Amino acid sequence: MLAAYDYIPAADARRLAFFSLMALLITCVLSQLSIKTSGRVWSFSFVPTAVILLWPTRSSPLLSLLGIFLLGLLHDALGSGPYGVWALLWTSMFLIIRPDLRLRSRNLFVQWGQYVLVILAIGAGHILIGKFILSQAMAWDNIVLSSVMALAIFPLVWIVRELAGQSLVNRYDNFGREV
Amino acid sequence: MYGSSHSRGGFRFAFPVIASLLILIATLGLLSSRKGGEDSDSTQALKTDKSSSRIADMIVMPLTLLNLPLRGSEHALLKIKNRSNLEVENEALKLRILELSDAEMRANALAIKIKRFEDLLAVDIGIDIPEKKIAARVVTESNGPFAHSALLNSGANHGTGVGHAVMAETGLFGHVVAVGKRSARVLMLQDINSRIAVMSPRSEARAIMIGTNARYPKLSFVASNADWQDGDTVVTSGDEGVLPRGLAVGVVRRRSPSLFDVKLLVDTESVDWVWVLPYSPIKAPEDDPVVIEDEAALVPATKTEAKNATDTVQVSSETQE
Repeated sequence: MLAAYDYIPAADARRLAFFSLMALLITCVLSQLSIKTSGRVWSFSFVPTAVILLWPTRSSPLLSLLGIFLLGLLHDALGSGPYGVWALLWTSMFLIIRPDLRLRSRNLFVQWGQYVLVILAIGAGHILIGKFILSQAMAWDNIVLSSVMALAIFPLVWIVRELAGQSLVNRYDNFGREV
Repeated sequence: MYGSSHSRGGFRFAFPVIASLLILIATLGLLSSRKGGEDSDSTQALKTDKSSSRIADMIVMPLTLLNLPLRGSEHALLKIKNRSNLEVENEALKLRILELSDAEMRANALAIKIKRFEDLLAVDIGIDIPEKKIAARVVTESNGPFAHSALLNSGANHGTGVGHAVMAETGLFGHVVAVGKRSARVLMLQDINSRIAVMSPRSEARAIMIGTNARYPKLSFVASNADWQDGDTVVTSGDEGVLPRGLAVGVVRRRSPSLFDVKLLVDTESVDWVWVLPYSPIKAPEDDPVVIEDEAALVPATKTEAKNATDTVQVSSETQE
């Protein structure tokens, strides 16, 4: 599993991680926006998880992990929630669906299907954290609405990622493999 | 290449160790935010530290700009929705104006009456709601599973301070819990950390309105003989000494004979502009000490004087016996 990282030039791996972390930072800030209709708040707070799902396969894993953790803390600070919720969920998510372990298909619908599972896991993670670590009541409807919003936005994130992948980063590494 | 075989071995060891360490740090951070219970006074779950205020100051400008099209589209949708029942709404508003003009007349008469009583008793009760208001824009509303807060584009530079009430068009929105130079964090009424002293203007029954992280906050610490009824208006009582008395909050919904929750007036509204009310609560005596210029006149100057004073007290108590 780690072998995939062993043959990528370190500078390229760091550059890929840097671009991805920048994308995560931008989505973190944008995810603070929300839409309110008929008393329901449609929050974008789950959207940054799409960036982690679409993380480049050969980015530096250590830099990615540290960056994701720190941006998770930033996401908590921006949302004014308890410190550690997003840091814990994103770090765990990155470790479980590591870019080299996920399905290789670049098809939108396959990745959308994966994202449904990720969103379900993130929702379950919130419930577990609320029940067993924070021991406090939580807004179930907000979890559902944020999940629906994230699933609706996913194709847009996917398109931006594909365009960025083609224009900013070499699509193939020195060995001709797709990044 | 990514590294030599030696460093690859180091990476294989370091990666899981660092990953475990990060997960441990995040879990410890969460455990430190843990609340004692639903009725606990702890407000740790909502972060109001200086670093959060600095971050808020940095993002408040770009988010204000990004928010404009979203709020604009919300208002456009609302306008389209309202257009369909414009005529009915117009009739209802005309009726409401008639009712309110009668209420205004009575309020003016009552104000004259109160003024007369105040003059007779030589007191000035006044009303708590301050005349000065600070207009601010709601930049973001964080309605996460664990926190309900909003970010305002008005901070210490504009006169906004911690504890100030924040009013939307229809009613109380929350109160300020953290202030930066250009931004302020508002704890919304739905948040689990929110505790507001409220009352019913009809029966003057008191309660504490506690946020539940759900849509409807609940009324707690309701006295057994308190007269709360379904449909009662809820206003702030000012008993906690933080918010002024009389700010409109919502309407009571009876869930069971002893359980009440509150349908907030700002519940369905898309909040864009708000008023910050810079209300200064009455300070505790220890926080507001009296500065006496000639303190020496109030305390005995010498030990002999102090002794004489004690003797005088003893003599007077013996005389009483």
